[in-house]
Amino acid sequence: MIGPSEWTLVALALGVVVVRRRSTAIVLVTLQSLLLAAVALALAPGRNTEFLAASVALVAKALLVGSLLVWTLRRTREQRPLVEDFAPLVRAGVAVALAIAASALVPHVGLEHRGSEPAAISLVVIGIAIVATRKATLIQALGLLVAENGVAFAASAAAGGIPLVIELGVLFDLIVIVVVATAFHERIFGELGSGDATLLRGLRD
Amino acid sequence: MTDLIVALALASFLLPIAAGLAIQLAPVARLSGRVAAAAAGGTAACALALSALALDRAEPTKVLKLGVVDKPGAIFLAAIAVVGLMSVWLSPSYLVTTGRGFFPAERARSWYYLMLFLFWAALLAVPLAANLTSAWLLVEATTGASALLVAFNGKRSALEAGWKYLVLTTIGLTVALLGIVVLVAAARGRAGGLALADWSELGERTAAIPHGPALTAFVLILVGLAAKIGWAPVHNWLPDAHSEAPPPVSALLSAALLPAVVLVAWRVKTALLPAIGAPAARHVFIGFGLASLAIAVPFLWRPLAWKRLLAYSSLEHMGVLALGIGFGSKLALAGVALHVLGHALAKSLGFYAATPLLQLQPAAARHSPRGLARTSPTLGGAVGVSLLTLSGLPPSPLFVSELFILLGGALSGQTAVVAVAAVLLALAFLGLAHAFVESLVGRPRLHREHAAATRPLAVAAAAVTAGLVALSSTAYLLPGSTLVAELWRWSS
Repeated sequence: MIGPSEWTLVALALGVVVVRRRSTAIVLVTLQSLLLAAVALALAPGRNTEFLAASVALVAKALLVGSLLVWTLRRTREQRPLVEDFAPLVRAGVAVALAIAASALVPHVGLEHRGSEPAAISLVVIGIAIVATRKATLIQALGLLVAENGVAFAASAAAGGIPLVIELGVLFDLIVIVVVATAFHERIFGELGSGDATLLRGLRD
Repeated sequence: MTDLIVALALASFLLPIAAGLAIQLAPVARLSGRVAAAAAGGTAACALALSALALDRAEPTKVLKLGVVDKPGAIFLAAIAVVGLMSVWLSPSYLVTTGRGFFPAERARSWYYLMLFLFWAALLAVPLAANLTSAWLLVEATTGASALLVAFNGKRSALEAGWKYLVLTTIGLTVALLGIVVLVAAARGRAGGLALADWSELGERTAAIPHGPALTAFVLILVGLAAKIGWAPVHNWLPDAHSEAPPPVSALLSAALLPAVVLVAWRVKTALLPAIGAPAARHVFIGFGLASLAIAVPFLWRPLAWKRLLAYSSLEHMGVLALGIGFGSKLALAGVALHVLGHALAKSLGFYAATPLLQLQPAAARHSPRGLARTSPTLGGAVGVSLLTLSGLPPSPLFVSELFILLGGALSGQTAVVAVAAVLLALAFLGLAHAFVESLVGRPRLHREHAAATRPLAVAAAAVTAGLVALSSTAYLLPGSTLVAELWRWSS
């Protein structure tokens, strides 16, 4: 059975699919990352100290990445709101349909809480849907974070969690990717005067 | 001997990182080029020595629990070392043509070398990764530096290619990571902790995992890695990134990064074979192989810009590697080993030729080159060697390797797949042969009168040609060699 924390994580991801403002999307993903860290911290008492350290690292990641994104947002204010290709309800419908389909396709894999499996898979799929359906480069970067949060949720829901060294390695890689993504966003903004990914559609065969 | 191997492995990884950081301190541009060239020579020497030692030793050697030096890794390590060395040595020819780009002009050169060395260091470490999660971390680590290199010239098209590469490969690797978590979760209580189990241990332990979750994990990992390899149908970033990156970086992307991730996919197949069974593993690899060939061939028939043509050729050749690994017979694996080396040499030469080509015929950035034999014999020679080898013309090593793979597939009972692949390879050959004729003997495009600097390319072309001749003349020894016997034993 899917619990309230799983529903909330998925709802926050769907929020990123539909919201218009980039600042709201950043707040939603930061909240999602913090909730994910809180879920991991709640599981920590029954597990080893490595898991506790990994959970604390999740908190640090949420705050660090959130701060970096807010800083980037302040440096790249859009002159006018980006008009998306698809209406919010259509985007949400696509994301929900894909999440349900993917959750139904993947068999039970043995996470400690069975309800965590569809939630984790849904987060990965919704993250991909955000990248595919949103125009703003900064929100596309948030899509990567949502998908990665799905994997982090699955990792913390696996019995005993994943070894600390791996969690830290993944977090380090993720932070590097976010730093590079924000550098790209700023450069694209500087070149085009907007963080609109659809302006980058010149390469065709 | 073990201590020497450990020292060489560490040097291969740490030396390029140290060089990249040291170049940040170089006060003048010329000095940075010299430091880079010397460091690249040292790094390649360490990696090639390591590769030779690994090929000579009967058993794999562990490196500080996180690394392993074995025969499959040694083959890929050699290719990455040679391509990395040539890319660093040929970078000055490219850098003289650049100004302000992604980075400020005054720091562009040092940032370029830092990113190039970090990218190369991560690539050199991938074949040495002792376990699945380390390999994943290293493959992911290649993304940040290489994405910045793809967008190095800062043009709109380069930003598009770099952004697409960053986003699509990160999504792919996130899916692969989900597969790893699924595998670890499925193993709990049955096979113990798998996350840090080395490759051979992983193979032994996964036998206890039920088929369903193991197959799910395998498919997720392979689909995720396919996005980084550029296997169709998840190859969308590949032509754009290869065509927009600086030529030495395109060479590393195509001839080193893609095969390095293919090796990880191969290791995953080998490790999960007991849990998923040979047919499932074979079907996934053959599916990616045929799809990549089928998608690549129509583009090889079109008059594409030079680097885009090479990019679609990469798609084709990664498809050939997928088929060879999927067939899995001794002869096919001999073909895979030969193909990795031959492709690395021929493809990198093709990309290195792009630097003087774009100086001489700027229109070649968007259109197919023409009449190079008349415009510049050196450039024409390099393009000709690259194209004819990549097309699989006999007696090039890629002709021999493709023959090995097809015959190996037939011997393993995959006659229908072999027939389809043979037709697709023949069509690819015709497409590249046509490109060869157009590029060399067609009517030259308008070109700049001043001479492009072709001396570094001439040296690279001579070295690559010598390497290709050496591969062709020794290829017949491979199928009966102990190397292939051990590759087959490891892979089965």
